[in-house]
Amino acid sequence: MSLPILNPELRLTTTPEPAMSEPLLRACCVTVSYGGKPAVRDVELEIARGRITAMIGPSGCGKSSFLASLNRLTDLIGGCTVSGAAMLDGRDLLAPDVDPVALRRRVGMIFQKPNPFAMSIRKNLEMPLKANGVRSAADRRDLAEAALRDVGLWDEVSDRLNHSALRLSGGQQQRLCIARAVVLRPRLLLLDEPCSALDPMATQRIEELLSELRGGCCGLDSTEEEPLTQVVVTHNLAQAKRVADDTAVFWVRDGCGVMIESGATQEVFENPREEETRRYVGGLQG
Amino acid sequence: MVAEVLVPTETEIETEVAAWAPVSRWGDHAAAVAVWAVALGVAAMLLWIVGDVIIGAMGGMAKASSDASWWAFFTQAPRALGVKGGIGSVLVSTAMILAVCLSVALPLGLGTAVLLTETGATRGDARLARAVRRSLDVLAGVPSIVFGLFGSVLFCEVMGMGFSIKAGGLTLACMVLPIFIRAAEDGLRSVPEAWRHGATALGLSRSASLRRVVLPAAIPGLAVAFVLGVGRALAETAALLFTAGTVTRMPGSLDDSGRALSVHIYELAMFVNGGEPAAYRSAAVLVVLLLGINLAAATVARKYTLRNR
Ligand SMILES: Nc1ncnc2c1ncn2[C@@H]1O[C@H](COP(=O)(O)OP(=O)(O)OP(=O)(O)O)[C@@H](O)[C@H]1O
Ligand SMILES: [Mg+2]
Repeated sequence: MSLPILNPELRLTTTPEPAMSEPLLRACCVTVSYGGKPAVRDVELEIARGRITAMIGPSGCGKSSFLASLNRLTDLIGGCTVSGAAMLDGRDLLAPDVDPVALRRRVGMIFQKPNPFAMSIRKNLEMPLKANGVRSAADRRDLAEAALRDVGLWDEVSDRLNHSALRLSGGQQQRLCIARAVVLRPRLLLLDEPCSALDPMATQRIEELLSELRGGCCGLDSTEEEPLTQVVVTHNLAQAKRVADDTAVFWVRDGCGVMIESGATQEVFENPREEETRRYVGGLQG
Repeated sequence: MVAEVLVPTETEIETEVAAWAPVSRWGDHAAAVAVWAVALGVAAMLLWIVGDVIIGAMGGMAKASSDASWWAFFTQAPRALGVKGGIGSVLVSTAMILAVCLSVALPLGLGTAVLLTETGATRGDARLARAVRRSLDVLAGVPSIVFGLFGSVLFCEVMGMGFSIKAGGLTLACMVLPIFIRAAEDGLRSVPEAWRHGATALGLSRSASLRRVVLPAAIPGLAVAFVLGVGRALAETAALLFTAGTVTRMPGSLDDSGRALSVHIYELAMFVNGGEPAAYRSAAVLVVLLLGINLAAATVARKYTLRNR
């Protein structure tokens, strides 16, 4: 098996022009608090359409909290409150009148630990489609197959679609989770340390997949191929450098997480504005 | 230069050998023996009880076979206070009481368990959940005779049901609920939180994620809850004496009084002269019934676990 090493120069040619249009998502003054105590404060961030944005920073600076607020998964956590605004398609997704279930169909989430359900591989893909209103079984089957092809899993599992998804390897499980998220055709996919439970080979596979997905994927009402926007939280700076077009750096200041700088990945890594960023990404060399 | 050859001395060899010698583990062995002894003791006790009941029943059968066929025991109504005849009407009463009990206890219990584990109401308000849990634990420890008295006052008198299968079933439901809820809650709690988050992130509403992900994954635990509940209901005597009654007639409706199997055994063993063989036979039926339900639930649980792992 040959695994092509991702070449950053090669990748850059496929990257969309920076700031070609309105950002897909604009976070204004987003603060996430647990029991009244802010964990991350006043985040101002623009997520560019069709690009991959990395969020990096030390442990506990609120990356996961901010990410979870973007598809209202924070609603599930008792005592967690979110203030501020996050505009997606001209609507504030943090507003109380937004239906979080409808929102989550547009904003998907991948977790650190792969979490396929205890069902067959096929049902893992078809059940969310059914729950999201795909009535015809034939459609569900076709979409599931297309999704497996999208994540490069089809050749590996096509002969055991009815086996339990829990018997797949960790990397395969994570790709299945990505497949079942992208088949719903989200506008935005949030990934919280998607590779930190995986070995380097599986990690590389996922990184390639993220780059491919940027070009669009098959899914629900796929009238046109719209590129997928992704936000990846990672502790792996080399990974951020490899896959991300843009990077946002989070830090803990005065016991509370803040976003200290953001911009094109190359700019942030080679020409950081903030002292903390310089030290943090400096760890990359030594 | 002469290379120095390091020859280990005698004592060095000894310490080396000692380092690799197996460490004494008599503590482990003693613990293993104790665990095995306890396990064997429990298994032996079960075998003894079941064996005693079956052998007792066989003896009774041999005697009964003269005046009635083996099958007739399950179909005929008891005669002569149960010494003669079968347990047909008793089985029907038992089934009806159990049906009333489960049709109330299962939905109510599952609902409460879901409320305790899955909804924001109790997650946000941990105090409410804790209060409910504590009351359930107290209720689960209340002696069944107390439930019987409570049921006879509430259902038979206040609600005017009199001695009836309905009143008996409802009393049993009250008794089974706390056990069932707590066991079902454990089953739901054993479903990984990651699956709930995953389902939510895939755009499943709370009810859809419950129905499509959480409940199917909780089936093994729910089966355990079911067995505990049914077991307690089938074995119950005291709660039924004052509610469903002891009438051996074939019940025509839920408003009739009826005698449950456990009550039948109790009456035969305590108050009927020469009732022992029939009591043994009935007890054997009860034990086989309980074992069967246990086995069925274990099979369901295993099937679900195997298919999904
Ligand atoms: N459920 C919770 N209840 C209370 N506090 C929480 C909860 N989740 C996170 N926090 C707090 O919020 C802060 C930010 O946590 P968060 O998980 O968002 O950080 P992170 O940047 O993702 O860290 P890591 O890189 O280790 O994943 C931490 O101080 C943490 O203790
Ligand atoms: Mg995190």
